[in-house]
Amino acid sequence: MIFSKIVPYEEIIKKLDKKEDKIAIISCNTCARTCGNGGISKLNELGLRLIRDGYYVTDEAVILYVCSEPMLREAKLDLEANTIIVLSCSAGWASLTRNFPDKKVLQVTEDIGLVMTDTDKEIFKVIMPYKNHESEMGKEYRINTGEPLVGEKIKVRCV
Amino acid sequence: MIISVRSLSYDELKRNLSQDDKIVIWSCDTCVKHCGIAGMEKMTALEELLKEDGYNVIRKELISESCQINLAKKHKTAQEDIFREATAIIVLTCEIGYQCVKTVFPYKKVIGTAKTFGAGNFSNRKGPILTSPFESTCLEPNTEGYTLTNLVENFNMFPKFFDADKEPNPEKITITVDGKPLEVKKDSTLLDELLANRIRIPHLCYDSSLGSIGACRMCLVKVEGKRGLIPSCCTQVEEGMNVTTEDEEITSLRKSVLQMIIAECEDDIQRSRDIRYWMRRYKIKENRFQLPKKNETVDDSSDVLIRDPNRCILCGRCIRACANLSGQKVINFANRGSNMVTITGLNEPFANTDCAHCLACVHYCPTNAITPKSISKKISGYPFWTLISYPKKMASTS
Repeated sequence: MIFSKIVPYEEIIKKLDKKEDKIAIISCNTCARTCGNGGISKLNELGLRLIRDGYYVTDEAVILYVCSEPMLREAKLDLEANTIIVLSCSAGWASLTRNFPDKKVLQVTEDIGLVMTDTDKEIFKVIMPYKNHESEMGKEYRINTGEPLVGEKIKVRCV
Repeated sequence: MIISVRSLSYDELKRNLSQDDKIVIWSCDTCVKHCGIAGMEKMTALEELLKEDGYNVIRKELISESCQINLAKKHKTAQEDIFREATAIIVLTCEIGYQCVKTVFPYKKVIGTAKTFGAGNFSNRKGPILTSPFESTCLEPNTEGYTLTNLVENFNMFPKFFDADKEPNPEKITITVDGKPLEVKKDSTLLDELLANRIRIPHLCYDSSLGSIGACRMCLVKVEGKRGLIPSCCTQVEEGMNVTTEDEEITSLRKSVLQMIIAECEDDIQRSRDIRYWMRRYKIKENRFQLPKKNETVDDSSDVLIRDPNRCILCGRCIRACANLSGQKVINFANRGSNMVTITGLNEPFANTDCAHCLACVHYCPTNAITPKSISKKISGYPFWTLISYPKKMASTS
């Protein structure tokens, strides 16, 4: 599973234009949801906030795997928007960038690394971080919210 | 998805094993399967290679998501005797899956077979591609992606699965199918062999990853010397077996079974590719049975899945996927006979169960009774004053 963190809201709106941009929000319902940056709840949260701040949001979509082109095709997205905000890891962003070449696709998350999950304890643990995030190695977070946890609840033997 | 490539040759794998080892082959059924180096088919190929070379493979263990450590622990508990006996585990997973297995079995010889390069996509044109490589690979992130062939060439890895190094040569026997002789693998299932030889047999409850229960009665065939019709998914091939796969009686029976399934379930069950194919093949245009349609509530309580019992044909694939692949046992049958239904948890909504969201049930359901929750909606034209009630609207549509 891939762990990505969403950038602060202020940085997202810096990339948007209130007058020109018609915005679509596309959210991944697998890894990003598990890590607290995607799924239905984050989509609703961001959509509501953007509308309240006067941005023109035209489309919203939740797709099981944004990184899978067959899944994207199955979703039959007919977007009125000219700007897409992607709530997924960088792989999901790459997939949408390729599939919507005429639209501005904004990456609003940053990849941290690959994680191991324990859905019974509702925890995920960073096992293979990207180089810029090596300090995250071994850190644990709450599933669905991405809230950092203190202490080690998953003991890994061979990292 | 996570992009991994095979990093071990067959000879290197054998060097890590001894002839006395009792081997379990462990495979993930998600990302690495799409990278072509895991899954039930690959496990069977590796088992054949190892057996041919005199190794003792005692079990093949397929897990829906090997990066979920709690699922790995449940597999260990469910097959405790086998894993106690095992001395070596060959892991067909990404490096995260390998570390899960190593953590769950700290005192066993665990042999990883893949190198993980980072995150990527499944492209319709190129297959699996790497778009966000780890910095250690010295590759730049690229939206067009690096194909597995690029990675294999640049990093001196192995392009295909182990069977490409050496073709498996399992023991064969000869059977007769519809009057023609056919060479098939010894000790295999009749349905598997018929499908492998491109003889199309309808089957709804069978999948080679899940095993057979003979529930749907669609794969019935005639075997000389055996009484009545027998389900080919539950029959092993035998030397000299004489099989009939199509005649008037078999066709009539399959048509009746299919018409009963269609009669009982919602009309949109016909969206299922398999059912549509067989309806066309048997020229079924209308329904001759007048059975009361199911009228069950659709469960959309989960954030990830929607379960529509009205499309369920009681094939039990989701139940076996949940129990065998995930180890969770969230989905089950309840009641008996004509009252039999599938339920989740203790007959509660999906959201209240211990579902691990591994999606094994979604991948194996033949009629789309369990589907991923995907939403696509237009929300333009909100006047300002409606924004106060916006969260409620969103909640109801989701």
